Amino acid sequence: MSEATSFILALIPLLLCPALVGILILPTDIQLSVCWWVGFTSISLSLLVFHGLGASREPTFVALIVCTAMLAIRERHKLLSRGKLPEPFHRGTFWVFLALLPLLIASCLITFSLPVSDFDAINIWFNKAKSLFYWQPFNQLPLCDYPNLGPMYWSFVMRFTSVEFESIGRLVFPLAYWFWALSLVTLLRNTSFRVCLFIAPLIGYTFFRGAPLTNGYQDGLLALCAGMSAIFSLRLLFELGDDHRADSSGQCLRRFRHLYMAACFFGGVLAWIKTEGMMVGLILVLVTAAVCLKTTTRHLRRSLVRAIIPGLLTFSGIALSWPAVELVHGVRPWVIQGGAFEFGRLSSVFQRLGRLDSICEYLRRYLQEQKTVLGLLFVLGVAMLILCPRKTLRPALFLGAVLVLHAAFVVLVFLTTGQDLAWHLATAFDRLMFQNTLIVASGLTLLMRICAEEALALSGLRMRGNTEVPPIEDRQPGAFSPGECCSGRPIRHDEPLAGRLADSVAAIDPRRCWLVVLNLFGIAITSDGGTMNQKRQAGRADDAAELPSVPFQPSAPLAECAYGQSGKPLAEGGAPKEDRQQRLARGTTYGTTPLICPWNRRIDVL
Amino acid sequence: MIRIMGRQVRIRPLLCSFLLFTALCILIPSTLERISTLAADTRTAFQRVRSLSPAERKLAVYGDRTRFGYGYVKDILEGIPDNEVAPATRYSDYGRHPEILLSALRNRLDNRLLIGIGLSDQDLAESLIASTKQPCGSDSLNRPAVTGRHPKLSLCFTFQTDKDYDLLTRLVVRLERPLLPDNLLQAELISSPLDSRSLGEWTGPSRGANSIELKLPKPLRDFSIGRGATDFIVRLSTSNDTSAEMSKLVGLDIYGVRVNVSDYIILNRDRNCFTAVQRSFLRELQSRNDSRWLTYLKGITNVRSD
Repeated sequence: MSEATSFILALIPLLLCPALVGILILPTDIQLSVCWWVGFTSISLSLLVFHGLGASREPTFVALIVCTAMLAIRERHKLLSRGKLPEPFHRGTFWVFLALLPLLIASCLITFSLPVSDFDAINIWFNKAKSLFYWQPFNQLPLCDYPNLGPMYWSFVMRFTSVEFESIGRLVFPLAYWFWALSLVTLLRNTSFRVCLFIAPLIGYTFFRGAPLTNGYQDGLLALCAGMSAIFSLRLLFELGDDHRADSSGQCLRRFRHLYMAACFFGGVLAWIKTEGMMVGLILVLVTAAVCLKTTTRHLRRSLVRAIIPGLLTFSGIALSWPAVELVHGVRPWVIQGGAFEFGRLSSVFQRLGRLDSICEYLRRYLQEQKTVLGLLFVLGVAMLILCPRKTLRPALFLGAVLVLHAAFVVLVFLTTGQDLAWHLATAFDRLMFQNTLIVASGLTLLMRICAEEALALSGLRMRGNTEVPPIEDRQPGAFSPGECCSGRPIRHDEPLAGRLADSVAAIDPRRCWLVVLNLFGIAITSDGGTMNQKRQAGRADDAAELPSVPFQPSAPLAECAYGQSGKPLAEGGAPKEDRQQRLARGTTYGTTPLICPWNRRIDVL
Repeated sequence: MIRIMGRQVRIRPLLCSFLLFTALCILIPSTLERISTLAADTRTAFQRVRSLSPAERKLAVYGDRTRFGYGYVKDILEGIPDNEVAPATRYSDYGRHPEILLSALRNRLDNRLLIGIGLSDQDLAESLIASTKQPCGSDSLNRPAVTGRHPKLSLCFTFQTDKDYDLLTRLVVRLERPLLPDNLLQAELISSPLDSRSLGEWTGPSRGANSIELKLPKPLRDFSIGRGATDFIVRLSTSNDTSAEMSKLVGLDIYGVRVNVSDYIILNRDRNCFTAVQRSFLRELQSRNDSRWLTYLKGITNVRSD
């Protein structure tokens, strides 16, 4: 079989199978990148469970194909509905997809061009993939106390090609990164697509690390899965309403439960990728739950506890099944890496505190290397906590706690290691710390989104869910108002972007240059090129494309949802036409950021 | 709201815009740097894919007669009668497993065949493994596993092999001044600071002005394989247990053989690579006249042997 033929065949396991399984498992309105991730992990987990239970190869694959076929027949409407309008073409995701396409091509080409070459990548991970390709019994796998999720999918792809073309199988890792980057749109949902187009590719390109994602090591995959879990945790925390908005229909709680379950699912999968994944998953899942419970009132807390339990059960079920499989095969899960770590050694941590000097030296070096990103996250987090505490508090608490706990866990690993400390630090510290990289990236995405949402008030351009633009007559004379360039001339949103930029430049008042710069910047990153406004002027809100699948109910909490869904024609500046009295009656005032209220959004699960 | 230049400005969006602007100013340079690196890597990758076949790419990465010795191992294993065996492979530094890189599953390690990659004749003879000058610090001395075994006064030296060694042949203790004539020098090799297993004990008379050689009656086999940077501990003591005598011990040289081919017959040599067959296995093949193996071995032989 030639390389080209193998490559084409590999598209089946690389793209088709995970996407298909994900689409069949998940509801129809889930982003395709999330479907791919769920499909990828589900296929891997199923194969691992079958393998772990000692099933032979042929029956396993037959069972998998039969299950998928049955699911496809049962859920065929999902495939048909996807067929009408592929998800990437929804809501600006397409543009993010296009912007990230060069990254996919480049990373795949780099992966494809080089055989697996690093020492552990060959001796452990490729060796595992090859052994799983030949379906060796669990006990005969190399380092059978190491989890196998990445190698299992690697071997699954090789099954469509051959072991000779192992680099094609490794394409799954850059592909997973690409789908993670696409999934960032999940965090940017309900915001201007130009914000999506700016932030998601920026984060996608900035956080791409060549080697960990292309050389076959599993730290990259662990970081990606942790990143997926963090995306759902952050979205959940961002959208979590206050207790006084408790909905009577339970839709919000259902949504909370689903988001938390998604975070827990990916958290649980971490345990199947690498041994330390169990702890990373535990940190993510527990911190999410703790932040939810700690920052809500007692009334809502009771409901949340009920919604959290299924997620925790999902996490426990998936994560603990790995040690269970180990125990079935007589492998002791509490002895890790051939005795390099033992739980019993935790008691001697205090006798080894002398090691802290060396560990802290590495930690200091890591912070020095990551100072740009971590510093930005910190500054942005603190600033947004001050400027916009309601939106930022929970995500910031989550990020802070997760990063601190993860660092503490890494320190604990080196305090207890039975390996030579200097050698172990030199070979593993960076890889372990890398595992939080995409959690940081997800956090940064959300903070930039919040920042962009707030900044929008300056450019006067609405985001979805943000209609709080005061009409001109309500403003104080001379006020620099949103929706206008500095000259006071209203910005026309149906004009092309270049035209609006030109208008703004032409209206430069030398005394207000600094405002102009910020205004231009705001327009550049947040305007929607007039498309949204044209739709609105055509009598339908932009979000009509995303109308809730539940009927719109103008109940008290719903009224606070600033969606522009009232059916009234929208003003040129993007605000619905309503007078001051109506606005006062709604209880909103100018200058307040509309609260993002998940109760009122479409009930999409993820 | 604040009033700036006669206009009322909402401070929060302004600050957020500034923050976002700053964040992007910080991120965009690193993004551009990343993109330029990615573009360069992609260009290289594209050229590699365009100019080299998959087999050539593997040879370029794994080496023909160097690094993994992929080309040599593949050549040697072609036509081997047993499809599951992976011959023992030795390198000049540390162990690798070239059999993993081959398409077929060869997970039965077989010492009857030995392949050496990147090894010179010096690697097959005795050489200095490590030389240590200072006795190790208090860390090792205070370990109960070590001190508990030897209550008497002693000195500990640690050393690392860095590379793989098959045999430990002798220890040479360097002296500042000669020891007393009736004194006996004792040496004990301990597995590692965390593993107090004794790998061997040797005693020798204290003859010699500047050094004392402790030749092992039988070399220690499989001495250091895949240890990485784990320390060995050599504990030295004298029968005349005085600190004055101990202070004369100033250093330790450790000698061994990187690849022990004394049990093998080398059949094939190609640059710095060789293939050898175990003598006993060859005798066994000849005695039972196993034509498949004998034909295979004859096919790979390019070295005249007796």
